[in-house]
Amino acid sequence: MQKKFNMSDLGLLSYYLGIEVKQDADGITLSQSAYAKKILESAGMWNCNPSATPMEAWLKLYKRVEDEVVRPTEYRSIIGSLRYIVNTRPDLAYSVGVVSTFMETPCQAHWGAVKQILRYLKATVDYGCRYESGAALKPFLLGYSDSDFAGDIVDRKSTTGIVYFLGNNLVTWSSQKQKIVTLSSCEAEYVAGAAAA
Amino acid sequence: MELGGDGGSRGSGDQTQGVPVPFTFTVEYPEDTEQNPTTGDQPDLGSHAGSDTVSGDALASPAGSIPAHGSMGETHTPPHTPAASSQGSTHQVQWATPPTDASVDTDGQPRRYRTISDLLDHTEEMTNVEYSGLCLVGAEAPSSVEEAMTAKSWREAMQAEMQSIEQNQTWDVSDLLANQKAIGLKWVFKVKKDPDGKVVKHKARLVAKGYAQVQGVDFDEVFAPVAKIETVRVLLALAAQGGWEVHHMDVKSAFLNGDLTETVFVKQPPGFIVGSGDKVLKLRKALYELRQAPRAWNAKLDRELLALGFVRRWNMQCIEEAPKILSCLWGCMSMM
Repeated sequence: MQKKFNMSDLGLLSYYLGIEVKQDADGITLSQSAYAKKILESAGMWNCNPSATPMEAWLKLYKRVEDEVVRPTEYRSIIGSLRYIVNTRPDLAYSVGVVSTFMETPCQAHWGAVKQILRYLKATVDYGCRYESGAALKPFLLGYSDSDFAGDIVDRKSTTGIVYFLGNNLVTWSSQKQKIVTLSSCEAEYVAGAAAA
Repeated sequence: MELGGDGGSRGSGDQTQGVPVPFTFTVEYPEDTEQNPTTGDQPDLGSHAGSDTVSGDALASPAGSIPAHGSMGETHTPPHTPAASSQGSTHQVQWATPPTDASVDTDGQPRRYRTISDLLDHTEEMTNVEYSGLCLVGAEAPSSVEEAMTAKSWREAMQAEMQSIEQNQTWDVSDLLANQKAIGLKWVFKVKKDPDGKVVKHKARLVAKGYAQVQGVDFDEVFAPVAKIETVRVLLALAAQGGWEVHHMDVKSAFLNGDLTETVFVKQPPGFIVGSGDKVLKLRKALYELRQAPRAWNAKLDRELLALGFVRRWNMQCIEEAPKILSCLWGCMSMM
Protein backbone atom coordinates (compact mmCIF):
# COMPACT_ATOMS: atom_id res chain seq x y z
CA MET A 1 0.00 0.00 0.00
CA GLN A 2 2.83 2.34 0.72
CA LYS A 3 3.88 2.00 -2.87
CA LYS A 4 0.49 3.07 -4.12
CA PHE A 5 -0.09 5.99 -1.82
CA ASN A 6 2.01 8.54 -0.08
CA MET A 7 1.55 7.26 3.43
CA SER A 8 2.94 7.79 6.88
CA ASP A 9 3.00 5.07 9.49
CA LEU A 10 2.17 6.65 12.82
CA GLY A 11 3.20 3.58 14.78
CA LEU A 12 0.94 1.96 17.32
CA LEU A 13 -2.48 3.56 17.42
CA SER A 14 -2.52 5.97 20.32
CA TYR A 15 -4.85 8.84 19.51
CA TYR A 16 -7.70 8.69 17.07
CA LEU A 17 -10.64 11.07 16.59
CA GLY A 18 -10.13 12.49 20.06
CA ILE A 19 -10.06 9.04 21.62
CA GLU A 20 -6.96 8.07 23.51
CA VAL A 21 -5.99 4.47 22.90
CA LYS A 22 -3.65 2.71 25.29
CA GLN A 23 -2.34 -0.65 24.21
CA ASP A 24 -0.62 -2.98 26.62
CA ALA A 25 -0.01 -6.66 27.06
CA ASP A 26 -3.42 -7.36 28.58
CA GLY A 27 -5.62 -5.35 26.31
CA ILE A 28 -6.64 -1.98 25.01
CA THR A 29 -8.08 0.97 26.88
CA LEU A 30 -10.09 3.72 25.25
CA SER A 31 -10.67 7.00 26.99
CA GLN A 32 -11.46 10.60 26.20
CA SER A 33 -10.05 12.29 29.25
CA ALA A 34 -8.48 15.17 27.34
CA TYR A 35 -11.78 15.77 25.63
CA ALA A 36 -13.63 15.58 28.94
CA LYS A 37 -11.32 18.17 30.41
CA LYS A 38 -11.90 20.40 27.43
CA ILE A 39 -15.66 20.18 27.90
CA LEU A 40 -15.36 21.01 31.58
CA GLU A 41 -13.18 23.98 30.84
CA SER A 42 -15.32 25.38 28.09
CA ALA A 43 -18.42 24.97 30.25
CA GLY A 44 -16.69 26.77 33.10
CA MET A 45 -17.12 23.73 35.32
CA TRP A 46 -13.47 22.91 35.79
CA ASN A 47 -13.52 23.75 39.49
CA CYS A 48 -16.92 22.27 40.26
CA ASN A 49 -17.55 19.85 43.06
CA PRO A 50 -17.42 16.32 41.75
CA SER A 51 -20.52 14.22 41.99
CA ALA A 52 -20.86 10.47 42.33
CA THR A 53 -23.84 10.07 40.03
CA PRO A 54 -24.60 11.48 36.60
CA MET A 55 -28.24 12.11 37.42
CA GLU A 56 -30.48 12.03 40.44
CA ALA A 57 -32.51 8.89 40.81
CA TRP A 58 -36.16 9.28 39.83
CA LEU A 59 -35.52 12.69 38.41
CA LYS A 60 -38.40 13.58 36.13
CA LEU A 61 -37.70 16.34 33.69
CA TYR A 62 -40.29 17.67 31.33
CA LYS A 63 -40.68 20.52 28.92
CA ARG A 64 -41.81 23.59 30.78
CA VAL A 65 -43.74 25.93 28.58
CA GLU A 66 -44.18 28.59 31.21
CA ASP A 67 -40.52 28.78 32.27
CA GLU A 68 -37.97 31.08 30.78
CA VAL A 69 -35.59 29.57 28.23
CA VAL A 70 -32.02 29.89 29.49
CA ARG A 71 -29.04 30.20 27.13
CA PRO A 72 -30.22 27.66 24.54
CA THR A 73 -27.17 27.92 22.29
CA GLU A 74 -24.74 27.14 25.05
CA TYR A 75 -26.94 24.29 26.23
CA ARG A 76 -26.96 22.70 22.79
CA SER A 77 -23.23 23.12 22.47
CA ILE A 78 -22.55 21.34 25.75
CA ILE A 79 -24.96 18.55 24.88
CA GLY A 80 -23.24 18.13 21.54
CA SER A 81 -19.90 17.71 23.27
CA LEU A 82 -21.37 15.32 25.80
CA ARG A 83 -22.90 13.18 23.07
CA TYR A 84 -19.49 12.68 21.57
CA ILE A 85 -18.01 11.62 24.88
CA VAL A 86 -20.63 8.88 25.15
CA ASN A 87 -18.51 7.13 22.49
CA THR A 88 -16.34 5.79 25.29
CA ARG A 89 -18.66 6.35 28.23
CA PRO A 90 -21.69 4.03 28.35
CA ASP A 91 -22.37 5.21 31.90
CA LEU A 92 -23.37 8.60 30.55
CA ALA A 93 -25.59 7.32 27.77
CA TYR A 94 -28.92 7.55 29.61
CA SER A 95 -28.43 10.88 31.34
CA VAL A 96 -27.11 12.57 28.23
CA GLY A 97 -30.00 11.11 26.27
CA VAL A 98 -32.48 12.56 28.73
CA VAL A 99 -31.08 16.08 28.72
CA SER A 100 -30.81 16.00 24.92
CA THR A 101 -34.57 15.89 24.65
CA PHE A 102 -34.78 19.45 25.97
CA MET A 103 -32.43 21.04 23.51
CA GLU A 104 -35.24 23.04 21.97
CA THR A 105 -36.26 24.93 25.10
CA PRO A 106 -33.77 24.39 27.92
CA CYS A 107 -34.90 25.81 31.26
CA GLN A 108 -33.17 26.16 34.58
CA ALA A 109 -34.21 22.67 35.67
CA HIS A 110 -32.60 21.15 32.59
CA TRP A 111 -29.45 23.13 33.17
CA GLY A 112 -29.33 21.63 36.64
CA ALA A 113 -29.34 18.14 35.16
CA VAL A 114 -26.59 19.05 32.70
CA LYS A 115 -24.49 20.46 35.49
CA GLN A 116 -24.94 17.26 37.44
CA ILE A 117 -23.60 15.33 34.46
CA LEU A 118 -20.65 17.68 34.21
CA ARG A 119 -19.95 17.28 37.91
CA TYR A 120 -20.04 13.53 37.50
CA LEU A 121 -17.74 13.89 34.51
CA LYS A 122 -15.36 15.87 36.66
CA ALA A 123 -15.22 12.99 39.13
CA THR A 124 -14.66 10.45 36.37
CA VAL A 125 -12.62 12.15 33.65
CA ASP A 126 -10.33 9.18 33.25
CA TYR A 127 -13.05 6.60 32.78
CA GLY A 128 -13.21 4.78 29.49
CA CYS A 129 -13.61 1.39 27.87
CA ARG A 130 -11.26 -1.40 28.74
CA TYR A 131 -10.92 -4.27 26.32
CA GLU A 132 -9.27 -7.31 27.86
CA SER A 133 -7.48 -9.93 25.90
CA GLY A 134 -8.73 -13.47 26.17
CA ALA A 135 -7.02 -15.38 23.47
CA ALA A 136 -8.30 -18.69 24.73
CA LEU A 137 -11.92 -17.66 24.41
CA LYS A 138 -13.66 -17.65 21.13
CA PRO A 139 -15.37 -14.26 21.04
CA PHE A 140 -19.12 -14.53 21.16
CA LEU A 141 -21.64 -11.78 20.86
CA LEU A 142 -23.98 -11.28 23.78
CA GLY A 143 -26.63 -8.63 23.92
CA TYR A 144 -28.86 -7.35 26.72
CA SER A 145 -31.84 -5.12 26.52
CA ASP A 146 -33.97 -3.41 29.09
CA SER A 147 -36.68 -0.85 29.22
CA ASP A 148 -38.36 1.35 31.72
CA PHE A 149 -42.05 1.97 31.43
CA ALA A 150 -43.43 5.36 30.57
CA GLY A 151 -40.27 7.07 31.74
CA ASP A 152 -41.34 10.30 30.14
CA ILE A 153 -44.25 11.55 32.19
CA VAL A 154 -45.50 13.82 29.42
CA ASP A 155 -45.74 11.59 26.37
CA ARG A 156 -45.72 8.27 28.26
CA LYS A 157 -43.03 6.80 26.06
CA SER A 158 -40.50 4.37 27.49
CA THR A 159 -36.75 4.30 27.13
CA THR A 160 -34.79 1.35 25.75
CA GLY A 161 -31.36 0.43 26.97
CA ILE A 162 -29.18 -1.92 24.96
CA VAL A 163 -25.67 -3.23 25.52
CA TYR A 164 -23.71 -5.72 23.47
CA PHE A 165 -20.67 -7.60 24.61
CA LEU A 166 -18.13 -9.26 22.38
CA GLY A 167 -16.62 -11.87 24.63
CA ASN A 168 -15.99 -9.96 27.84
CA ASN A 169 -15.76 -6.62 26.15
CA LEU A 170 -18.53 -4.09 25.88
CA VAL A 171 -18.57 -2.92 22.31
CA THR A 172 -21.83 -1.19 21.65
CA TRP A 173 -24.57 0.42 23.68
CA SER A 174 -27.48 2.68 23.24
CA SER A 175 -30.11 4.41 25.28
CA GLN A 176 -33.03 5.56 23.24
CA LYS A 177 -36.55 6.66 23.77
CA GLN A 178 -39.00 4.34 22.08
CA LYS A 179 -40.89 5.59 19.10
CA ILE A 180 -44.24 4.28 20.20
CA VAL A 181 -46.35 4.46 23.30
CA THR A 182 -46.58 1.07 24.96
CA LEU A 183 -49.42 0.08 27.23
CA SER A 184 -47.55 -2.21 29.59
CA SER A 185 -44.06 -2.74 30.89
CA CYS A 186 -44.08 -6.11 29.16
CA GLU A 187 -44.80 -4.50 25.83
CA ALA A 188 -42.06 -1.95 26.46
CA GLU A 189 -39.62 -4.77 27.09
CA TYR A 190 -40.65 -6.43 23.86
CA VAL A 191 -40.01 -3.21 21.99
CA ALA A 192 -36.58 -2.95 23.60
CA GLY A 193 -35.77 -6.55 22.77
CA ALA A 194 -36.82 -6.07 19.18
CA ALA A 195 -34.70 -2.93 18.94
CA ALA A 196 -31.71 -4.82 20.30
CA ALA A 197 -32.14 -7.59 17.77
CA MET B 1 11.27 41.32 22.11
CA GLU B 2 10.27 41.91 18.58
CA LEU B 3 6.64 41.25 19.34
CA GLY B 4 6.62 43.54 22.31
CA GLY B 5 8.22 46.34 20.39
CA ASP B 6 5.71 45.89 17.68
CA GLY B 7 2.85 45.99 20.12
CA GLY B 8 4.29 49.10 21.65
CA SER B 9 4.19 51.09 18.50
CA ARG B 10 0.76 49.82 17.62
CA GLY B 11 -0.53 50.56 21.06
CA SER B 12 0.70 54.09 21.02
CA GLY B 13 -0.89 54.62 17.67
CA ASP B 14 -4.45 53.87 18.55
CA GLN B 15 -4.48 54.92 22.14
CA THR B 16 -4.67 58.42 23.41
CA GLN B 17 -1.20 59.41 24.25
CA GLY B 18 0.09 58.54 27.62
CA VAL B 19 -2.35 55.73 28.32
CA PRO B 20 -0.48 52.46 28.21
CA VAL B 21 -1.98 49.16 27.24
CA PRO B 22 -0.88 45.75 28.46
CA PHE B 23 1.90 44.08 26.52
CA THR B 24 3.56 47.28 25.50
CA PHE B 25 6.94 48.35 26.60
CA THR B 26 5.89 51.89 27.11
CA VAL B 27 4.50 51.53 30.54
CA GLU B 28 4.22 54.19 33.11
CA TYR B 29 6.80 53.46 35.65
CA PRO B 30 6.37 54.76 39.16
CA GLU B 31 9.66 54.92 40.92
CA ASP B 32 8.35 53.57 44.16
CA THR B 33 7.42 50.22 42.69
CA GLU B 34 10.64 49.68 40.88
CA GLN B 35 12.70 46.79 42.03
CA ASN B 36 16.39 46.86 42.40
CA PRO B 37 17.77 45.15 39.33
CA THR B 38 20.69 43.73 41.25
CA THR B 39 18.40 41.52 43.30
CA GLY B 40 17.63 39.69 40.12
CA ASP B 41 13.94 39.28 40.74
CA GLN B 42 12.72 41.57 38.06
CA PRO B 43 9.24 40.37 37.22
CA ASP B 44 8.60 39.06 33.74
CA LEU B 45 7.34 41.35 31.10
CA GLY B 46 3.70 40.43 31.16
CA SER B 47 3.06 40.91 34.83
CA HIS B 48 5.27 43.94 34.90
CA ALA B 49 3.25 45.68 32.28
CA GLY B 50 0.05 44.75 34.02
CA SER B 51 1.03 45.94 37.46
CA ASP B 52 2.42 49.17 36.15
CA THR B 53 -0.69 49.86 34.27
CA VAL B 54 -2.76 49.38 37.34
CA SER B 55 -0.61 51.57 39.49
CA GLY B 56 -0.13 54.18 36.83
CA ASP B 57 -2.36 56.62 38.61
CA ALA B 58 0.14 56.87 41.38
CA LEU B 59 2.17 59.00 39.08
CA ALA B 60 -0.35 61.72 39.29
CA SER B 61 1.10 62.51 42.65
CA PRO B 62 3.70 65.24 42.42
CA ALA B 63 7.40 65.14 43.04
CA GLY B 64 6.78 64.28 46.62
CA SER B 65 6.61 60.62 45.69
CA ILE B 66 10.33 60.30 45.56
CA PRO B 67 10.97 61.25 49.15
CA ALA B 68 7.98 59.16 50.09
CA HIS B 69 9.52 56.00 48.81
CA GLY B 70 12.64 56.71 50.73
CA SER B 71 10.62 56.91 53.88
CA MET B 72 9.22 53.45 53.27
CA GLY B 73 12.47 52.09 54.50
CA GLU B 74 13.88 51.02 51.17
CA THR B 75 17.46 51.89 50.76
CA HIS B 76 18.08 51.32 47.10
CA THR B 77 18.45 54.20 44.75
CA PRO B 78 16.69 53.99 41.44
CA PRO B 79 19.31 53.03 38.90
CA HIS B 80 18.20 55.61 36.44
CA THR B 81 16.50 58.64 37.77
CA PRO B 82 14.63 60.53 35.14
CA ALA B 83 17.13 63.31 35.06
CA ALA B 84 20.04 60.96 34.69
CA SER B 85 18.80 59.05 31.71
CA SER B 86 17.07 61.77 29.78
CA GLN B 87 19.55 64.54 30.25
CA GLY B 88 22.73 62.80 31.30
CA SER B 89 23.06 60.61 28.22
CA THR B 90 24.42 62.33 25.20
CA HIS B 91 23.29 59.92 22.48
CA GLN B 92 20.05 60.40 20.63
CA VAL B 93 17.28 58.98 22.79
CA GLN B 94 14.96 56.69 20.94
CA TRP B 95 11.51 56.85 22.48
CA ALA B 96 9.26 53.87 22.58
CA THR B 97 6.42 56.35 22.71
CA PRO B 98 7.04 59.96 21.91
CA PRO B 99 6.76 62.04 25.05
CA THR B 100 3.82 64.33 25.35
CA ASP B 101 4.25 67.86 26.50
CA ALA B 102 3.08 66.96 29.96
CA SER B 103 5.83 64.46 30.43
CA VAL B 104 8.79 66.52 29.45
CA ASP B 105 9.92 66.91 32.95
CA THR B 106 12.51 69.52 33.50
CA ASP B 107 11.31 70.22 36.97
CA GLY B 108 12.43 67.01 38.61
CA GLN B 109 9.14 65.14 38.40
CA PRO B 110 9.32 61.45 37.66
CA ARG B 111 9.44 60.87 33.98
CA ARG B 112 6.40 59.08 32.71
CA TYR B 113 8.04 57.29 29.80
CA ARG B 114 10.99 55.02 29.46
CA THR B 115 13.26 54.65 26.53
CA ILE B 116 13.67 51.36 24.75
CA SER B 117 17.26 51.06 25.91
CA ASP B 118 16.14 51.51 29.52
CA LEU B 119 13.76 48.65 29.12
CA LEU B 120 16.10 46.39 27.25
CA ASP B 121 18.73 46.84 29.91
CA HIS B 122 16.38 45.72 32.62
CA THR B 123 14.21 43.15 30.95
CA GLU B 124 15.27 39.61 31.41
CA GLU B 125 15.03 37.32 28.49
CA MET B 126 11.85 35.36 28.54
CA THR B 127 11.85 31.62 28.44
CA ASN B 128 10.59 30.03 25.29
CA VAL B 129 7.35 28.95 26.86
CA GLU B 130 6.27 32.44 27.71
CA TYR B 131 7.45 33.76 24.41
CA SER B 132 5.51 31.27 22.36
CA GLY B 133 2.47 32.04 24.43
CA LEU B 134 2.73 35.65 23.43
CA CYS B 135 3.42 34.74 19.84
CA LEU B 136 0.08 33.01 19.52
CA VAL B 137 -1.51 36.40 19.30
CA GLY B 138 0.08 36.89 15.92
CA ALA B 139 -0.04 33.33 14.63
CA GLU B 140 -3.46 33.02 13.10
CA ALA B 141 -4.32 31.88 9.64
CA PRO B 142 -4.27 34.50 6.91
CA SER B 143 -7.56 35.38 5.33
CA SER B 144 -6.42 35.79 1.74
CA VAL B 145 -3.85 34.46 -0.66
CA GLU B 146 -2.27 37.89 -0.98
CA GLU B 147 -1.78 38.00 2.76
CA ALA B 148 -0.41 34.45 2.83
CA MET B 149 2.05 35.20 0.06
CA THR B 150 3.75 37.75 2.27
CA ALA B 151 4.71 35.20 4.90
CA LYS B 152 7.43 32.65 4.29
CA SER B 153 5.78 29.88 6.29
CA TRP B 154 2.56 30.08 4.34
CA ARG B 155 4.33 30.34 1.00
CA GLU B 156 6.19 27.15 1.80
CA ALA B 157 3.00 25.42 2.88
CA MET B 158 1.30 26.38 -0.38
CA GLN B 159 4.27 25.20 -2.41
CA ALA B 160 4.24 21.87 -0.57
CA GLU B 161 0.57 21.43 -1.43
CA MET B 162 1.16 22.35 -5.06
CA GLN B 163 4.00 19.87 -5.17
CA SER B 164 1.90 17.00 -3.91
CA ILE B 165 -0.80 17.93 -6.42
CA GLU B 166 1.70 17.91 -9.24
CA GLN B 167 3.22 14.62 -8.11
CA ASN B 168 -0.21 13.12 -8.32
CA GLN B 169 -0.66 14.45 -11.84
CA THR B 170 -3.93 15.84 -10.73
CA TRP B 171 -4.67 17.97 -13.77
CA ASP B 172 -3.84 18.84 -17.35
CA VAL B 173 -3.88 22.37 -18.66
CA SER B 174 -6.49 22.68 -21.34
CA ASP B 175 -8.96 25.00 -22.98
CA LEU B 176 -12.48 25.27 -21.77
CA LEU B 177 -15.11 23.70 -23.97
CA ALA B 178 -17.85 26.00 -25.11
CA ASN B 179 -20.57 24.47 -22.99
CA GLN B 180 -18.47 23.84 -19.90
CA LYS B 181 -17.98 25.90 -16.83
CA ALA B 182 -14.85 25.89 -14.73
CA ILE B 183 -15.11 25.68 -10.96
CA GLY B 184 -13.14 28.11 -8.86
CA LEU B 185 -10.39 27.08 -6.49
CA LYS B 186 -9.41 28.63 -3.23
CA TRP B 187 -6.83 28.21 -0.54
CA VAL B 188 -7.64 27.23 3.00
CA PHE B 189 -5.07 27.98 5.66
CA LYS B 190 -4.81 26.35 9.02
CA VAL B 191 -2.40 26.63 11.92
CA LYS B 192 -1.88 23.25 13.52
CA LYS B 193 -1.15 23.36 17.22
CA ASP B 194 -0.17 20.70 19.67
CA PRO B 195 -2.12 20.23 22.92
CA ASP B 196 0.00 22.88 24.65
CA GLY B 197 -0.98 25.43 22.05
CA LYS B 198 2.39 25.57 20.33
CA VAL B 199 2.34 26.01 16.60
CA VAL B 200 3.54 22.80 15.01
CA LYS B 201 2.60 23.24 11.39
CA HIS B 202 1.35 25.70 8.87
CA LYS B 203 -0.99 23.93 6.53
CA ALA B 204 -2.32 25.15 3.24
CA ARG B 205 -4.92 23.17 1.35
CA LEU B 206 -6.12 23.88 -2.16
CA VAL B 207 -9.84 23.23 -2.34
CA ALA B 208 -12.41 23.39 -5.08
CA LYS B 209 -15.54 25.40 -4.65
CA GLY B 210 -17.64 22.28 -4.66
CA TYR B 211 -20.78 24.21 -3.90
CA ALA B 212 -20.74 25.50 -7.47
CA GLN B 213 -20.97 22.02 -8.91
CA VAL B 214 -24.19 20.97 -10.58
CA GLN B 215 -25.50 17.47 -10.14
CA GLY B 216 -25.60 15.56 -13.41
CA VAL B 217 -23.03 17.87 -14.96
CA ASP B 218 -20.07 17.88 -12.62
CA PHE B 219 -20.91 14.90 -10.47
CA ASP B 220 -23.35 12.03 -10.22
CA GLU B 221 -23.03 9.94 -7.09
CA VAL B 222 -21.61 11.38 -3.92
CA PHE B 223 -22.26 8.71 -1.33
CA ALA B 224 -19.19 7.40 0.41
CA PRO B 225 -19.22 5.01 3.35
CA VAL B 226 -17.54 6.06 6.54
CA ALA B 227 -16.72 3.94 9.53
CA LYS B 228 -19.16 3.94 12.41
CA ILE B 229 -17.69 4.46 15.85
CA GLU B 230 -19.23 1.12 16.84
CA THR B 231 -17.26 -0.55 14.09
CA VAL B 232 -14.08 0.98 15.39
CA ARG B 233 -14.85 -0.25 18.88
CA VAL B 234 -15.64 -3.77 17.71
CA LEU B 235 -12.39 -3.76 15.82
CA LEU B 236 -10.44 -2.67 18.86
CA ALA B 237 -12.24 -5.18 21.04
CA LEU B 238 -11.36 -7.95 18.61
CA ALA B 239 -7.78 -6.79 18.54
CA ALA B 240 -7.64 -6.80 22.32
CA GLN B 241 -9.26 -10.22 22.45
CA GLY B 242 -6.69 -11.68 20.15
CA GLY B 243 -3.81 -9.79 21.73
CA TRP B 244 -3.01 -8.05 18.46
CA GLU B 245 -1.37 -4.73 17.96
CA VAL B 246 -3.24 -1.95 16.26
CA HIS B 247 -1.21 0.31 14.04
CA HIS B 248 -2.17 3.75 12.92
CA MET B 249 -1.48 4.85 9.40
CA ASP B 250 -2.32 7.92 7.48
CA VAL B 251 -2.52 8.54 3.77
CA LYS B 252 -1.26 12.01 3.07
CA SER B 253 -3.66 14.17 1.09
CA ALA B 254 -5.88 11.14 0.76
CA PHE B 255 -8.52 12.70 -1.44
CA LEU B 256 -5.99 13.72 -4.02
CA ASN B 257 -5.61 10.03 -4.87
CA GLY B 258 -9.16 9.51 -6.01
CA ASP B 259 -9.66 9.05 -9.75
CA LEU B 260 -12.39 11.15 -11.27
CA THR B 261 -14.84 9.52 -13.60
CA GLU B 262 -16.56 12.75 -14.52
CA THR B 263 -15.03 15.54 -16.56
CA VAL B 264 -14.45 18.51 -14.31
CA PHE B 265 -12.72 21.74 -15.21
CA VAL B 266 -11.31 24.04 -12.58
CA LYS B 267 -9.84 27.49 -12.81
CA GLN B 268 -6.19 27.99 -12.05
CA PRO B 269 -5.31 28.23 -8.38
CA PRO B 270 -4.95 31.76 -7.07
CA GLY B 271 -1.33 32.68 -6.62
CA PHE B 272 -0.10 29.97 -8.97
CA ILE B 273 -1.45 31.07 -12.33
CA VAL B 274 0.57 29.81 -15.27
CA GLY B 275 0.65 31.80 -18.48
CA SER B 276 -2.03 34.28 -19.34
CA GLY B 277 -4.56 32.75 -17.00
CA ASP B 278 -7.26 32.04 -19.58
CA LYS B 279 -6.39 28.37 -19.59
CA VAL B 280 -8.28 26.06 -17.29
CA LEU B 281 -7.32 22.77 -15.71
CA LYS B 282 -8.97 19.50 -16.56
CA LEU B 283 -8.97 17.29 -13.49
CA ARG B 284 -7.84 13.70 -13.60
CA LYS B 285 -7.80 13.21 -9.85
CA ALA B 286 -10.04 14.58 -7.19
CA LEU B 287 -9.44 17.74 -5.25
CA TYR B 288 -10.57 18.47 -1.72
CA GLU B 289 -14.10 19.82 -1.40
CA LEU B 290 -15.18 18.43 -4.73
CA ARG B 291 -18.54 16.87 -4.13
CA GLN B 292 -17.45 13.47 -5.36
CA ALA B 293 -14.01 13.51 -3.73
CA PRO B 294 -14.81 11.19 -0.79
CA ARG B 295 -16.49 8.74 -3.10
CA ALA B 296 -13.63 8.76 -5.56
CA TRP B 297 -11.12 8.16 -2.78
CA ASN B 298 -13.17 5.36 -1.31
CA ALA B 299 -13.50 3.65 -4.68
CA LYS B 300 -9.79 3.89 -5.24
CA LEU B 301 -8.86 2.59 -1.81
CA ASP B 302 -11.39 -0.20 -2.15
CA ARG B 303 -9.86 -1.30 -5.41
CA GLU B 304 -6.32 -1.18 -4.10
CA LEU B 305 -7.12 -3.11 -0.94
CA LEU B 306 -8.99 -5.81 -2.81
CA ALA B 307 -6.02 -6.11 -5.12
CA LEU B 308 -3.80 -6.64 -2.09
CA GLY B 309 -5.86 -9.61 -1.00
CA PHE B 310 -8.13 -8.00 1.55
CA VAL B 311 -11.63 -9.39 1.75
CA ARG B 312 -14.58 -7.10 2.16
CA ARG B 313 -17.16 -8.16 4.74
CA TRP B 314 -20.56 -8.23 3.21
CA ASN B 315 -22.15 -6.04 5.83
CA MET B 316 -19.34 -3.72 6.73
CA GLN B 317 -18.07 -1.55 3.97
CA CYS B 318 -15.27 -0.05 5.94
CA ILE B 319 -13.59 -3.11 7.34
CA GLU B 320 -11.40 -5.09 5.10
CA GLU B 321 -9.70 -8.09 6.49
CA ALA B 322 -6.70 -10.06 5.36
CA PRO B 323 -5.27 -13.02 7.18
CA LYS B 324 -3.39 -11.88 10.26
CA ILE B 325 -3.77 -8.24 9.36
CA LEU B 326 -6.57 -6.18 10.71
CA SER B 327 -6.96 -2.88 9.05
CA CYS B 328 -9.58 -0.23 9.25
CA LEU B 329 -9.80 2.53 6.78
CA TRP B 330 -8.97 5.45 8.95
CA GLY B 331 -8.33 7.50 5.88
CA CYS B 332 -11.99 7.64 4.92
CA MET B 333 -12.80 9.69 7.91
CA SER B 334 -9.93 12.04 8.52
CA MET B 335 -10.71 14.45 5.78
CA MET B 336 -8.62 17.39 6.80
